[in-house]
Amino acid sequence: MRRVRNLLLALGVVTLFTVPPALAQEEEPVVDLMQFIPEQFRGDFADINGDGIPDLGALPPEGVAGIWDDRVGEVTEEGFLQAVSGDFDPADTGSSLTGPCKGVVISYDSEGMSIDAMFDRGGDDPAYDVYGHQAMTRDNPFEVDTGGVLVYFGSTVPETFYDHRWFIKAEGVFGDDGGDPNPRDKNRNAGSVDFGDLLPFQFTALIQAKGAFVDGWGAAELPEMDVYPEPNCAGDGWVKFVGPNPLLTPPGMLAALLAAAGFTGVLFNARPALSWRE
Amino acid sequence: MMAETTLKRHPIRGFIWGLITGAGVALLLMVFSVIPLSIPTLGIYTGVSAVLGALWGSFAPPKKPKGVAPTPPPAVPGPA
Repeated sequence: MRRVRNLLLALGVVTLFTVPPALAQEEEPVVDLMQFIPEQFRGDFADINGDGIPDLGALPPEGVAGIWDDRVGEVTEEGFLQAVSGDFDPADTGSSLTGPCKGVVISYDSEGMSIDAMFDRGGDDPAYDVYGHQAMTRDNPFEVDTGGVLVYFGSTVPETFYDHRWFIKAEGVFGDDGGDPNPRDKNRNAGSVDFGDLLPFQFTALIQAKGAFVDGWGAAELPEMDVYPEPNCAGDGWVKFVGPNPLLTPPGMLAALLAAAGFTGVLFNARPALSWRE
Repeated sequence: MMAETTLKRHPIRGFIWGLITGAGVALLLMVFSVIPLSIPTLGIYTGVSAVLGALWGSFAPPKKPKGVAPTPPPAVPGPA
């Protein structure tokens, strides 16, 4: 009797972990992402893992940096803290992306298999994933592999931004900014970001990010504002960095070590003690 | 006569170990994506845990004294 009960329990646990992912995989994409990928790059993509998102063959070229882009990065502690601080509201679990900016972002793991994708058609609607759900929300964050690659195509059509500035930041973690006079009338860009090359180690985390892209701002750095001059693109949302088992990453090991050491100290070194009076 | 005991409290130790525990637990929750990665959240977890640690070091049930109770010295007879 006990064996049957244990068998049923084990079956229940296995079902719990295998059925929901299997059901999730049955979801059909509502958008053909190929329409967002520039024609010259389409030959590099094919849906190998069957999730409706084109998987990656050869890596497309990186995007072209603007002349005001911060290519060195913030090198001082003060500069870094300033770059990653801001008016974040963790209670806001939604996402937004307003303005003429539109495009698609596809996220790949280190093997080139797609793990997530989202697109935006411009206007006041937020970004959506390929299955038609709002993307970059707390419940449906955009997943990025810290050992993988992001491939993107974006445009501001029908607008063309000149003397533009942009910034992107994630609270306490990441900040970058840049801009360009745009003398060659560019209003679209495609490229890739290879996190495997950029990051010194892999990690896992859920972060809230925000950014803005403003036309006609000039060479001065773009601050965080409640309302940006028109035309602009502004947005915020949630990103989930995924990778190996969190406990096998350096931040996970450090966290486990601190928690274990601290808990041991609290239990055995901080408790009040009685001693015999001499 | 029963041997007497003295109670030693450790609020500073509790504070420090609580601080470390809070930082570790917050980072663990962050790397498992249970809570978002953010410096203020890390500060809140660490601060609250440090205060709880200090309270534990002050008011937790004390450990029993080590060893056997010292035997009181034999009573010295008073002057006749």
